[in-house]
Amino acid sequence: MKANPQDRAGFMQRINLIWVSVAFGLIYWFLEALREVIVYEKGTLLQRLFAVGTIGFWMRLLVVLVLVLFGVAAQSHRDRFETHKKEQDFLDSHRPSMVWVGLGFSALYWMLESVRDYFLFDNLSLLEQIFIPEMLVFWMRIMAICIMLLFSVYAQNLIDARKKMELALRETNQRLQELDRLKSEFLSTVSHELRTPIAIMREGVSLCMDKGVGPLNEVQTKLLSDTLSSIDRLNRLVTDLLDLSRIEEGKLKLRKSVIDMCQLANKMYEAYKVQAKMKNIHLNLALKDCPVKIYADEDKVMQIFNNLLSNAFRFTNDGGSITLHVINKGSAIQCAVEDTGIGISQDNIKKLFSKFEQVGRVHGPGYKGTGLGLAICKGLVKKHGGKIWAESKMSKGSKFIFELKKAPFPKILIVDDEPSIIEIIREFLKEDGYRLLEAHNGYEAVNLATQEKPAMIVLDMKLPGMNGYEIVGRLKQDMRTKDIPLIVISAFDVDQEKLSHPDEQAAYPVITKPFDRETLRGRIRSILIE
Amino acid sequence: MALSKILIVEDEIEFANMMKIRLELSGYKITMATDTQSGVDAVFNEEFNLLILDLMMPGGGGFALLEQIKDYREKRPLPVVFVTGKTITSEVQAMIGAFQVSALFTKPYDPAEFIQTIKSLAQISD
Repeated sequence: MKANPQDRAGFMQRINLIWVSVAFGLIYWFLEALREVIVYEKGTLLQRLFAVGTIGFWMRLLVVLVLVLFGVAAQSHRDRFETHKKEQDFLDSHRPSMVWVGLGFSALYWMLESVRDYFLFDNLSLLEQIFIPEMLVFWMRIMAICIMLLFSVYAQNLIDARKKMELALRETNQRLQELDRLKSEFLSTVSHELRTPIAIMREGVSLCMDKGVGPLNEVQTKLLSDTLSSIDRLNRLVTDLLDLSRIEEGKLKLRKSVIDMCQLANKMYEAYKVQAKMKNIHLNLALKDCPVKIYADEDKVMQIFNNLLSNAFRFTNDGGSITLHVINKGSAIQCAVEDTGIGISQDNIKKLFSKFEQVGRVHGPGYKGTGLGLAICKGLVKKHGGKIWAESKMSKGSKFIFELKKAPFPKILIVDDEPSIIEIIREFLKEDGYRLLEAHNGYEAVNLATQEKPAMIVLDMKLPGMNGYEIVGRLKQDMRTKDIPLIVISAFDVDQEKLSHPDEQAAYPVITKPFDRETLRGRIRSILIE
Repeated sequence: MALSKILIVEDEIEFANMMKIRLELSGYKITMATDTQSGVDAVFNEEFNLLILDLMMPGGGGFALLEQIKDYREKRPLPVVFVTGKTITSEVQAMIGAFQVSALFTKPYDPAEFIQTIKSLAQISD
């Protein structure tokens, strides 16, 4: 059984008041019992047990039992109320209850003992009785009661304080989560609602500007072009807000595949070449150890590059240069966009990746940022399990670096007894960067699937020994393998009903033999990306 | 020269009108419908070369419409383009694959890219 720290804390709190009283009661009881035997040592054990003097022993036993029962009852009473909604109110009004239990019991016990002591030593005056050696036990008892009382008050205070703190934390946490959810929900609803009017404005203005609905004079053209660029800016803001809210809500799902970072950097270079020429900026590529393969979401990595590059272009002047770096660091890949632009001060570097922090905002006309680009970059990099940071020197330039960890590429299990088919699949999977597991019969397949937990299984239905239906049946019964996606290869019609689990509606993708290499490749890719 | 005919099913009438103007400038003949059912009726009444659909509309939206004309499309190929203000989730992606939607644009679209796609899907025949 796994116990998380919270469960353990709750368990300790629940149980310790009962056990404190039980343990104390038992120790006391044994000590007293020992004393009884020593004091009344005449007669057999049976005689001693029913001697007049032993009545104290029985009373004590009774009291201990009452104490234990009472402790259990009080604790379960408390437990019941603690789960109640008005926990806080209950805690406030019933706080001293356990203290009073201890106090009440102690006072009762003390009185009973005193009465008994009085009868035992009745030839002495009360004052004399207090100071005779036999009264040592009485004083010890008083001391023990005091210690117990102090201890229970202290323990109760500790528990109360922790309870209160936990309660307050939980409430704050809930409130914050609720607020955050509302904010994100509001943001995404509003953004969707904004898109249609933006689309109408944009389409109307651009129809006029395309002069399809009539000629325009110079002033009209200028006014419409300014309007269009503002509409585009508004649209960027909405898109960025939506992106960010999806990242923050955790709704963003990465569609990972094996990509070559060098190839991707090249793509970015091609996309920005024209813009660089127009602005008279030297755009360079600095790639090392190509190809550099990584398992990541290509679109999202491109989005990171796009954000960093558009920033670099905005803050680099004519004649400057921008360099795209890709460095293979062994266990990670470092990518960077370096410019010779205006630079960022040390104070501002810290604020860069926060929302709506526009450091060195460009005034006047031209392309305007949304102040969300770097926050989105940070979110996307984090989602990949990487980190992003910036280095800069004022008026020398800036370098934005992000590092993505090289996660192991997914494994794919191929189950087929024909070596030629395995060979075809092996060839293109190697090209795509996936790791391959091979099984030639059902037993191997089931064993490998449970041990290696592949990301996908490609299964030929016709196999010697255990056939395809049996293999699927076994895989679906095992908790460890039942969620692994399957592609079925068969020369015959596949009985989907026989294949699928009764709880599942979805049919498995079937590739019929003879199959087209690219069809299978496409199927595998699309399933892995999901 | 027979004009290529396009059916636009879109509940935002202003936006539908603008798409109509733009497509007519490129030489297409446009028919418009503003809800799912009248879109289905239009498909059954007239032969079109292309459908432009909104994802969310009164009466079910684009996918509901495609569901109703499924048999029709099996007999006669009819390319479909979606234009939507909604963010594309993986569920939508999956549906797009299942219904063989040729292209998907989020609002606001890039006019040049839009016209280019339409041209490649609904070639003006002689």
